[in-house]
Amino acid sequence: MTSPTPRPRSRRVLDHSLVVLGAGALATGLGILTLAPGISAASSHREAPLIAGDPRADNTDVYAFTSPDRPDTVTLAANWIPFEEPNGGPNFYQFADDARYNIKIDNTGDGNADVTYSWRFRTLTRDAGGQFLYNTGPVTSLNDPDLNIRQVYDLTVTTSRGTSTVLRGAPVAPSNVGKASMPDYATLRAQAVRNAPGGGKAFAGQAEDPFFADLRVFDLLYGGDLSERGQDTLAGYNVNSVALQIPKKDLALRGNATRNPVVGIWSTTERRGVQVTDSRTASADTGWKQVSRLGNPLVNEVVVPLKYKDAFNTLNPSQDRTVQPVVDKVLDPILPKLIQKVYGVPAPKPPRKDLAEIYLTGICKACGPVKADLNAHRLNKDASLRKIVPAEELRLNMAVPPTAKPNRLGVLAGDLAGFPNGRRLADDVIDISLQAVEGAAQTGKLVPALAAGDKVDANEVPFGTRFPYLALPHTKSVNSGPSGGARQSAMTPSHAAAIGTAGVALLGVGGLRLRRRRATS
Amino acid sequence: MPAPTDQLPASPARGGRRRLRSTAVTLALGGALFTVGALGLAPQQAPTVASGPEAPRSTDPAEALRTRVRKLPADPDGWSSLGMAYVQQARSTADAATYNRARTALRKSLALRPAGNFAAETGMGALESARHHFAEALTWARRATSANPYSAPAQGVLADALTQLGRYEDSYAAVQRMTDLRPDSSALARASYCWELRGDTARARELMNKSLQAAGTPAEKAFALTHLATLALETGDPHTALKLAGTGLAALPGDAALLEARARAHTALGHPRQAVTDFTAAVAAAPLPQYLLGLGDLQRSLGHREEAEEQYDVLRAQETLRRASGGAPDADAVLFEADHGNPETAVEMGRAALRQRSFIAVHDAYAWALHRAGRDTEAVEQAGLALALGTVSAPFHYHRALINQALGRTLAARADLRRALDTDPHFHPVDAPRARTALSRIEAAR
Repeated sequence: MTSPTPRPRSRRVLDHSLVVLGAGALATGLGILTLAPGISAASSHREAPLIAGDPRADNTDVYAFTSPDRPDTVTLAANWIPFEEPNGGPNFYQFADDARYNIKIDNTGDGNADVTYSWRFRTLTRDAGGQFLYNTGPVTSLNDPDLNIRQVYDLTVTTSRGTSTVLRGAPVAPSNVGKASMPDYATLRAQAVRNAPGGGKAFAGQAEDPFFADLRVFDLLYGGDLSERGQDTLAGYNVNSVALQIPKKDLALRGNATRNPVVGIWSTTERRGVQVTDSRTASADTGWKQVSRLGNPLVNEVVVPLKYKDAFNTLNPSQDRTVQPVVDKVLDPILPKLIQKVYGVPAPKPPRKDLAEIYLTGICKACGPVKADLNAHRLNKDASLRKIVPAEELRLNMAVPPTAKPNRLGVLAGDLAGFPNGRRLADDVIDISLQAVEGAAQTGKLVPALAAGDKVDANEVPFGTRFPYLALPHTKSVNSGPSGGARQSAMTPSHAAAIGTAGVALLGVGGLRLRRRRATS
Repeated sequence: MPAPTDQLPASPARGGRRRLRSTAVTLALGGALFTVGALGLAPQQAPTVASGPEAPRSTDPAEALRTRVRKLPADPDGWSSLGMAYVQQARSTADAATYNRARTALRKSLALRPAGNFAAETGMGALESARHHFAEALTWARRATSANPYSAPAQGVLADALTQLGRYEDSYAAVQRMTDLRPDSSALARASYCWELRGDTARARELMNKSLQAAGTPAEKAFALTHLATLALETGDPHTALKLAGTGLAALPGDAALLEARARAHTALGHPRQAVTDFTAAVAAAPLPQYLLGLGDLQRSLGHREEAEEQYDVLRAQETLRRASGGAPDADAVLFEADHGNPETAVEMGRAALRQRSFIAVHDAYAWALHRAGRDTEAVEQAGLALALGTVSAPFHYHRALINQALGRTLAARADLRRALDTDPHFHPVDAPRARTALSRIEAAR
């Protein structure tokens, strides 16, 4: 080894301590913690990041309901990018330019999409001296030159007859970056609502997250405290939404919503695949890969246990029945067992055929134990019974008229226009779930310990009365409001899993209520 | 606190008493620094997100997860997520204490759910991979991918381990599977590397651009920009590299890898002062061998012998520690030993490193060590293995050139020297000028 040139002692001590600073922690670690080397081992090979965190591809909620002010149409909405923090700073959120966003409709019941709406986004940056500011002054219209970064989208519809373009270059409502930058956001948002040919309407842009729940109720699974409830964990956050209002006939089998009122709905996100292994391929593109899928609220992570969540995200509903472990979990869900373990409330006996019916086939008298005809594809008069398969989709019977005074508990409260017959923005998913998971659907008895649910009964802000119905995005930092308190800072996988489990249960109670109603009417 | 007295590099130039004294001071200081660093400043007691209206939003992804496992200590998924977050954190800071936290969290998760816990298994694989235990990493990755064949991160850990073990075809297949499952930023970054290894830098760049476009977090963005900058740099475009690294540092200030990339760009562009500043900041952020060696070599090229030796001293200390712990040496350490220590020792180290992983960078380092030890026939074989995939690498070509030259194969040497300088005329502050000299000598002699 070459030796350093002699230097003053103090300097050398310093050098030496630098040596120790660099390696000393390690040496001590070896002695105390019997830790193998971290420092010298951590170099010279390439490790790309692994926790993907792909919020722009992760679909959080899907809604489908008969439009209350235009009952001949259905409104479809889907959200991406959860937990958008409007913290007053220059925070803005965009749809991915390199992804494809879809809402799919199955009107035959075979688990395949018969109508697919696809959104492709493009980001436009005005030439502003190479700066990457979102806006360079107050923005008063979507075409305001001060809006430096804009997004537009093309909306296409694909049916058996092929693909056609519904809207081209339609503007996205920008992120609401604050009063100073966007003094009249409502006007901007209104400009982003576009009429589509054939009587439809379309919207894409930021919105307040319509989902409301105290996600902490799921702590109970791990021995948490049920007294800690009542706070909307999602309050104050925004999402990116696409919404579409479509004449019912455009969705119905054979264009006939009277004979064939039932449709199954789900949304997907796709990213473009790449070629890794064959250099001779001229194209590096291997087509679109589905990376996210969502139908019934809160379900896809559970019925599907965590282990199959990744598989579920890649599947088409037509393939659901081929994944036996998933089907098994519909018939024998995990959540009630966990609750039994923690709280001693007996779990209902499997197989839960009621859940399977509601969840995979839709509700009809011929479908299973729930004696009601609500939203199974079998109710479509022109549907081929041979082709109908069990598949996870949010099912909507478009013939059920909108309710003047909707009940947050939907079908559970006798309001048949709500979940699980489609899903409205104000439907309270969690409360019903907690009851249902206790087997209320089978015993007919509510569990008093869980009667209050999550104690969050409504969204923190009211929804609109006209399309797109979504509330305007928040501008105030989530943690700075007058009610600012404890918040979850991120959606963790097991939250999603827990909520998903609850979704199964929810369907159970819906079935119960429906059965009772039929019995007494 | 145990004193690593016998592990400090002994300098024959120093007097015994003096050495003892400075060692004592060093140990005291080092011990204090360790305590402060590992216990005092560690974000273990980070404030919870729930602390009130004025609480600032944390940028530390581990923080929310720590809060979570404190509240729900029996949740295996919380522990595996926390463990994985620590692995990622440790990889960018090279902090040994964080590796230990990662292992503790992952073990906790595995204890709570021993069977089919693919998330914790993936985390363990990533942890072993980060610590260069690639065989163990492969075992964990296989468990994770069979528990959940649809997990893209598990495929990523599998691919990383296979690559480092020299099983390239298998690793490409794993990356293909990963991108088929989920072509997100981390999968696209790996796809890019597959092409980079095979020397298709155009496609590597295209895919890394896609990875950048798909990046959902500042860390993913910084990673993509780092490698776009490096790709530009290593193909002789330091201007672009400087711009890209600067963009990355705007998104993630103080990121060590981006600082290194910018330092190298500054070096190539003849801005030694800025290069030293960036390298020094990179070393301060994460004392990784390649940064220390990079800074040392830069100082040496500038004639700053003392400053160069400061960095080399730290490298020597790290090597002493590694040896004491019985860990396998790394390619950088082999190269350093070959050039600044004992070539015979470097050969030993190279052989040990190759046993651990037969990756191309290890073949290159071993080749260089053999050359420095005068064993050029063996060296040229190893140098050939380093370039067998078709990788475009100026240093690899330079090394093979000098080995060929020593063997009297002037034509082969000239071809490799040209290749090195055509690829990146500024590939190394000391070696690139040497390559130019060697090439002009060969061409003058014709």
